[in-house]
Amino acid sequence: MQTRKIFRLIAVTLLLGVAAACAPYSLVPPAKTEVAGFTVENDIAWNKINQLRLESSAPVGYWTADGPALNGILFIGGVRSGEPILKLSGTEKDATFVFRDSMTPVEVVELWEATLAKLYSTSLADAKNIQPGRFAGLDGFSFDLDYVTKDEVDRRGRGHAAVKDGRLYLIFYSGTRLHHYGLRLPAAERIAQTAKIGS
Amino acid sequence: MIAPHRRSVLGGLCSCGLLGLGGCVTNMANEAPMTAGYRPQSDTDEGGLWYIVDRVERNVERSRYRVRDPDWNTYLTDIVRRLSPDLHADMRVYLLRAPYFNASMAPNGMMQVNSGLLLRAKDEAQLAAVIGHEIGHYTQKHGLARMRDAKARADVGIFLSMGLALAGVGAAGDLANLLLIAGQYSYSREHEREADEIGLQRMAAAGYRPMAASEVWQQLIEEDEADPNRQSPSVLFATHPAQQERMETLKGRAQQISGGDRHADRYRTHISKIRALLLEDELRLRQYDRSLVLLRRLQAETPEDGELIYFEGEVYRLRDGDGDRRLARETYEKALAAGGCPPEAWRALGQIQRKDSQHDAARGSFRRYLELKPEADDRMIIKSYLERSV
Repeated sequence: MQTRKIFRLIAVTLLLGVAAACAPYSLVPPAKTEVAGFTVENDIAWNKINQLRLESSAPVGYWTADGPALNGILFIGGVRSGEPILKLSGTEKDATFVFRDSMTPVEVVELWEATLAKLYSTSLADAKNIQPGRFAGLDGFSFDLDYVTKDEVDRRGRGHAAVKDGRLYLIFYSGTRLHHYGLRLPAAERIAQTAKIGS
Repeated sequence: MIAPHRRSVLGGLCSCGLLGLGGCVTNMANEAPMTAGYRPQSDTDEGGLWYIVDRVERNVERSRYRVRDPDWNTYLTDIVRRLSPDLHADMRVYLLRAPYFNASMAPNGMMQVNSGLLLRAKDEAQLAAVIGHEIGHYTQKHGLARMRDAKARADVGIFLSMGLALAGVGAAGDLANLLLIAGQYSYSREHEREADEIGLQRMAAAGYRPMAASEVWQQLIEEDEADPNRQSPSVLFATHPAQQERMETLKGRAQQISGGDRHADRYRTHISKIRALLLEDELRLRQYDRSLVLLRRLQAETPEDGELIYFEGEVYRLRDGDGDRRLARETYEKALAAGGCPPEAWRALGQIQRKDSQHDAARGSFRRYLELKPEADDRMIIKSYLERSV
């Protein structure tokens, strides 16, 4: 049990944030770009991590500006009802962590908070400030999420989401709370504000 | 260390022969029991061990996971003092926000208690049972004994690997390690039994009801049995005696020691201040069957507690299986009638009513939520429901 937890933590750490020393990257120059089922406009150069070990029923993309230990933006383009928003590659689906198209925005945020807490094996995750708003041309919502990873670093995230044809579309930017979250927040918000579903 | 979630990595590799070989490295030990004010010489192996755990403790002190509530820290320290009037000044308790049943004791007197344990204890006597067990590890220096045993096994392992390799056994190193690990786990189980006995004696001496110790294990068994994802126990590698055996041994011993108090009211006064937060952490695990067993057990103590009834409704809402929406609505209504539940009960009820197209009722519930919690950080999305026709 403990061994499995450790492996999972290491895997998540490599994927979402904390030490991707050998992850192969490719440059995403400032331009209109297609990523994980979205088309977005990015004002600054980002680095795309090409080999994510995360799975979803939807296309998934992850970019970082200053390194995955410091900040990154996650794109999840259309999670089907009855499927998890995100899980580690090769792990079995946990039926208690699945998106349902009947979920309210509050429930979607609860699920994302629980999913991140599970992936990071942390008990410190707190979503707040859920607001209605337009996202990807749809009536959607935004939220903030503070969490602490096992390395005891305070992190903050900001998500934008909407449901279209029963599928969940989510863009989630996160970074270390002290400095690198705020550093790229405007660039990340610009991406979220220009996001469109499809090409 | 108390640990209900058992290892399964090497489960199923049971063999009495392996156990016998693995268990032969050291005898059950017998470090001199702890004395007040004790600190080992720094140039000994024990001094080295303390040096390492002192450093770990400094990290724990600063940890973001530490619950710094002064009331709770004083309360836990008082329980340690009652259980250990002789050694309490040498022990420090750290409460950590982790929604699992667990506690641990380091050789230097650092005790860590998980918040999930507080949620699962029905009364102060049950919490004292676990703390008393951890004190047993401290007084008998089990940490030091395990370190010495592990070192001895590492030395023996080299010779055992060589011997097996010479005898032509393939994968000799793996087999040798397996034998040694098996012995180590068996050795740990003896420590757990000893700590159980010491904990029981200290509970009785402190005026706690000794039967609380077996109740803790009975409760864990009930949660385990309800969990469809529980892992099958590994006879060989469990560090602790099987829960059933442990529960029955403790029960038998407690029957020989009568008397004692539960201190249920005192416990309730303290837990009520943080219970909602602990239940939120519990529900985030989405282990619905376990959580329902836990909530029903707590409700049996205080049936009209609206907060507990509300969280039961939350389980149904989150589980969202067949019939759960109806169950959730009925449970929220019951919670609100009972009183004492958080404003979020109105929000939760509103969400269910909204899904069931009960628009007027949903609007009323959301309005009530905002009246009770006008600064709610999700007020904008709730207001948007009111502005639309729900």
